[in-house]
Amino acid sequence: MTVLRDGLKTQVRVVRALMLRETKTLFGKHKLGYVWAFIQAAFLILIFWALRSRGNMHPPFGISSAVFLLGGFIPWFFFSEAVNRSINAIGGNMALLAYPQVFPLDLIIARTLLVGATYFCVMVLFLALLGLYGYPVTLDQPAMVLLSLALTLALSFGVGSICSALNVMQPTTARIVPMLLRIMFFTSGLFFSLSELPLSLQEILYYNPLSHVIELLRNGFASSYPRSFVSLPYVTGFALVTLALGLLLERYSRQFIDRES
Amino acid sequence: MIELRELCKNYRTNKGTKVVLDHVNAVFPRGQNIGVLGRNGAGKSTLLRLIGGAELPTSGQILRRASISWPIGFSGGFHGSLTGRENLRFIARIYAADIPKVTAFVEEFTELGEYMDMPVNTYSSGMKAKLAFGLSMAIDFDYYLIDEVTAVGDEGFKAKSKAEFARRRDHSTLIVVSHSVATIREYCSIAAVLDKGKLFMHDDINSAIAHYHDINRTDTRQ
Repeated sequence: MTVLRDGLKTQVRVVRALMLRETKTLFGKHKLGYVWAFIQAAFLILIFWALRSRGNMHPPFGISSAVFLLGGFIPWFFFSEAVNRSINAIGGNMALLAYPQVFPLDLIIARTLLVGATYFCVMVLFLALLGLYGYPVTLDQPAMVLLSLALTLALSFGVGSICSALNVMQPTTARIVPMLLRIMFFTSGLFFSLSELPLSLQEILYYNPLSHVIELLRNGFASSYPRSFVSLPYVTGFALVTLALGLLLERYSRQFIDRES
Repeated sequence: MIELRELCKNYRTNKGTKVVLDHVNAVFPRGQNIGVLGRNGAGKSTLLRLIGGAELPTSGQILRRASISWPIGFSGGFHGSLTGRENLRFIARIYAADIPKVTAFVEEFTELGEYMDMPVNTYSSGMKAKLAFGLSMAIDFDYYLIDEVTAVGDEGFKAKSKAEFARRRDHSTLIVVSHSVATIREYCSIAAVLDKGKLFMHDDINSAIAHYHDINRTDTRQ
């Protein structure tokens, strides 16, 4: 037991040190990098907000447009950025593996947590700014908001570690994953509600776990927005399976890590 | 103490599998600086990286009941766009070392001055090695791994490093790999010879050197 506890202590220490280190490097050399994370998200939200209001497409179930779009884009940025950065987490930090207490998985954990924390702050800042300018902001069920973000974290970490391991074994992964993420951008209901689509489409698109966390987040913001589409067992199961698979693949792929280069 | 048990290391190359270490068994006790002699490509650096934990063995075990440094002068773990001080903090954190203490030691030992607050990619390779060396001294390991005695920096720094090792003789043990007999004589009291994947331990440094000369001679004759 002490071996396990000491190991865990070391891992927490290493992940913390990595996070502090990556804080300065992940979003560019300057602190402005974090401002850009906000600007990027805000820009997309504003564009789709403008488009929706021009087309008179008010979001369904009485949720306000800005909050509706925020509920779509935050999980999206969280997930896609975490996965994108996990792919290169090992390649970009190979030299750190020379320190025996640093494990490949720590690099992925640190990056995913840092990306998550960043977009959590972006979300809070965005809500605060909306509120400050007198826009009706609702935060009906904070517990659901947190649950949605926790599930996004689990999904990001699971998918991120799978992609990272695949990339160690087969570097074309780094080219294929952005393609798949692009498709997810258009099909996860970021700037529309899946309930606005024909039933035949809804049936397919609900296999995408990201749609579930997005709908859950919107429900957390405004309880009038139903979460009848959200299947918690499905998302949780999906997250657990990807986590398990990610850990297995990470273990298996260690032998392929070429530490010399 | 460090113990190697049935340690094997293979590399996959495009010409098939290359065996670098073949069932190596050895014990490196504390308190006796040990040298490992081997010709170029014998696997000395690989052995050192395995002991340090930078690389994983193909099979076998390495038991470490002591803290072990990274190969002296290794600066690959530094992030170029971070300052010396920021890199120092990272290393101190992962080794659970006291940051102010480490900083004070490194500043005094390396004499990097204002370079401590400049990005590491503005450093010369000598300065990087100095920083890495100072850090490993500050963290105070039980074992120090030295590859070819990375004689870092200028003459003054070299002398300082040597004095530092001498000062620590009582509580720090050196493991030195080299192809130079002179280096091993200078630093070590016992030695081993690495040849064709096998490690031959000698209690006496002279017999190790004789063995090493022997394999060099046989090889030239063939």
